[in-house]
Amino acid sequence: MENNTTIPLDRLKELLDARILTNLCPPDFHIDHVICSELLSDILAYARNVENTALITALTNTQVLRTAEMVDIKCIVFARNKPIHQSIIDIADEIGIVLVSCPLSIFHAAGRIYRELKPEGTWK
Amino acid sequence: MEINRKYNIEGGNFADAGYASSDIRKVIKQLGLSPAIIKKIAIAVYEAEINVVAHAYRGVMSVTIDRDKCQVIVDDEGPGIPDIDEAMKEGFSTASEKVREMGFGAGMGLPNIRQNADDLEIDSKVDEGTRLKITIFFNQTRAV
Repeated sequence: MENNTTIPLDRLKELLDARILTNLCPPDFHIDHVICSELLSDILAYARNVENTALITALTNTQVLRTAEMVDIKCIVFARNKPIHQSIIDIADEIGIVLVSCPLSIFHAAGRIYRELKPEGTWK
Repeated sequence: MEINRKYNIEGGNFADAGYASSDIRKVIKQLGLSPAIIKKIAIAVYEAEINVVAHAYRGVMSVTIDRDKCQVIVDDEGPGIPDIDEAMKEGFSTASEKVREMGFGAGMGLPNIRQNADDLEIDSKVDEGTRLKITIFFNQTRAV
């Protein structure tokens, strides 16, 4: 997605009916780009030139967090309220990645963010 | 200035995989390098670490950082790579089902390392192990 605007954490929470899992809430946090992927190698290969990015995924293992860390992804959105182990939340707090859990599917979560970042009339 | 770090990597241990790369990333972030260089090093090192965890029995990652470059040598004990040219092709993978379930095994690991490294040497002996030597220069502007 190309960015037209940005989404702060409070708005992201509202948009996705989400819960913030981490304690970390950086005051300047915002996203303006989203990646949806279950393939970590793909993220490592293609998410190099992005900033202020959220990853929406159904993967809940430690490696999704490490992958996000390596490419500077700021936030991970876990779709469909997948249970997240406390050890993963602790690592996220330590390395500065915001974790969010939402009841939506990946498709619907991405759609709501897309609509926010790319208002109707700007769709390509 | 020279910084040296050494990490033991355990094959199959996905719970701890990425710890070494995370630590290296922390070290290089403190050096004031550009975000693009930090990302190149982080991705190359992480893919190399995951390769050991996914394919080998154990390995050692040795990192040397001086004022010009970051050099990473990864020595593993494992099955080795029978055909390095084949392994360098995007999409070629011998990863297990378990590794694929973790989100890896798409045959992007070595190509990704090559993409981010300024220099990459691979030596491998079947049934013995593999050595990767990754070099990333700090003053290179090559786009990745």
